[in-house]
Amino acid sequence: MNRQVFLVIALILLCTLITVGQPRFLTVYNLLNVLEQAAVIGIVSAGVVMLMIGGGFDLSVGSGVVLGAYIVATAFKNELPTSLAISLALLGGAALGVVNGIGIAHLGIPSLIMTLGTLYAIRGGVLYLSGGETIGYRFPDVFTFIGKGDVVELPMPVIIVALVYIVFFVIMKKTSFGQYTIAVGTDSETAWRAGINAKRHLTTLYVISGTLAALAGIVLTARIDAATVRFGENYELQCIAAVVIGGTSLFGGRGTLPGTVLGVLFLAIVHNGINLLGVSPFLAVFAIGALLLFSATIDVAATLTKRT
Amino acid sequence: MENKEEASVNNILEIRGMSKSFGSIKAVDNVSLKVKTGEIVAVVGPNGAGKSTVMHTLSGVIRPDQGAILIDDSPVKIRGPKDSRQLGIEIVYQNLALINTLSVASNIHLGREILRGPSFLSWLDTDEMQTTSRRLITQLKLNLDPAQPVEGLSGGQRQAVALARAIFHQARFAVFDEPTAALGVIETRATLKVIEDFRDHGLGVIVVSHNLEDVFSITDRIVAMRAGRVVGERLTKMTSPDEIVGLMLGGDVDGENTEWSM
Ligand SMILES: Nc1ncnc2c1ncn2[C@@H]1O[C@H](COP(=O)(O)OP(=O)(O)OP(=O)(O)O)[C@@H](O)[C@H]1O
Ligand SMILES: [Mg+2]
Repeated sequence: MNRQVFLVIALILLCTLITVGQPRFLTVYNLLNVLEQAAVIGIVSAGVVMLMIGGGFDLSVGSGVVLGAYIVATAFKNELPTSLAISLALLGGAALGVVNGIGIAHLGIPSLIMTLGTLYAIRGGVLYLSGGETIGYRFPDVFTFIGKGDVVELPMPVIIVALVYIVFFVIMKKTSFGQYTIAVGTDSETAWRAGINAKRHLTTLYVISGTLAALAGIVLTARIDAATVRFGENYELQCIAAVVIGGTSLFGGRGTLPGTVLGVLFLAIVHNGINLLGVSPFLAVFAIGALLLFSATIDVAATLTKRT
Repeated sequence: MENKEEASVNNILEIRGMSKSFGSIKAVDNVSLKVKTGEIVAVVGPNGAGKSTVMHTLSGVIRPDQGAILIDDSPVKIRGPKDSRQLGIEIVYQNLALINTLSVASNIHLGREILRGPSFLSWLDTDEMQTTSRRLITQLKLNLDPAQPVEGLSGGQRQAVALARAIFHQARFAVFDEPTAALGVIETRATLKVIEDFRDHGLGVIVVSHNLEDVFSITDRIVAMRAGRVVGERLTKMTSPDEIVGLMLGGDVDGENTEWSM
């Protein structure tokens, strides 16, 4: 059965259950709140899913978030113009991706170790440089609009995440970049033999992942008017959970952006429902774990039957 | 196929004095080989003779320690599969050919997608690729849907997709490393037919095979290798399976170090 259909049904069931327990769930205000909560993780997950389709794995995205936030806030503090501050932060995320890509694709360091290393190194670096202090500043309104503004009732973070998914959905479906991502993730040796620069392609995917993480950090900073060193903590796990629940294979080569949207929504709604219903948040953690194991089992089973 | 005119001009792909060691194993030892467009050359030899290693240098998967690859007498650089393809050399691998998660059409076009619009967008022309694929599939007399994923295809069908790809790329030279090793009788016959078609369309073909019956039925020339060296070379119609087996076993070793003329 199609994973996306399954997820939509599960989401409808979940929403129905929560609404029965707490009708306040089904208000525009609350649903927008859910979307806004989901937006930041959603932006990061878009990078993570493409990377995983391409056979990569990134634990350092949470550090990409804090790096982006830290750079943009510091840039403003030094009175750089908004466009430059944002560009520098995105470049910082991209640079993180380049480092990951070179280590993994070119030097052959296992992705788990490489990105665990950059996870610690970047967060440690940011902690050291900031002294653990939150960087608050009177950011210009054009900047905070990114995190707090509304366009026809829709919060900006939701618009941004929607744009990210639309753009990358089209790229994955309609361009050779999408084909190469699937090819490299399925079998990078064969892709290379077909004339694709597999190492460079994988590096590009890490760069996209790092850049989107930094973008999420920028949005977070704009939303709460400050950059804190706790931004992005545990994001790697939440993103990977969302991506895997969304039906993306752990073995590379298979996965979709729409599935990831559903996975991200699923996690956000579980969190929201637990809040609204006053259920123990520990149960949410358990529920997500159970769902993740379920998704991973389906993936492994599907892969085993397909292998000959 | 579109490269008929090229057929009248003879192109020659040549390996000259090639050696390659893996650690202390001298896998390939001063090997020279030639193939002209419009002929099929067989490379035969016992397991470990170095046949695949030589073919891998043509695909750019392995870089030789010594020796040169020449096309029409000018040396060419093959630093990777991309170079090899740009030179018009198409390698048909037995196992490592296709991306399971992509469709037949995508596999045929992999690395050479048909695009439309400004090139920096690399926007796929999906319709055109479907059309091209359907044409190639018809040409190969296959019953395949271009949109279907290649996983789940049989060995013979996968082979055919690989062949369709070689035809699409309009290669001048094609290399087959044990193309029929995993195939049934019918699929083997179809594959041999396609290899002959390649020649008839003016490609130069190298076939590595352990099956002497196949070799004798389609090739023009046979090169025998043993222990990393070329130990003999015969025109197919002037020799016999017994003689070839004798060369492989190391009876009368002539043509050693292979300064031969064509
Ligand atoms: N990547 C490699 N690393 C180390 N040794 C290798 C490698 N590739 C080949 N060899 C060795 O080089 C020699 C030649 O191998 P090659 O695969 O070229 O032989 P072959 O003629 O294709 O044999 P077969 O008929 O079994 O396919 C063998 O001794 C093999 O073990
Ligand atoms: Mg071999």
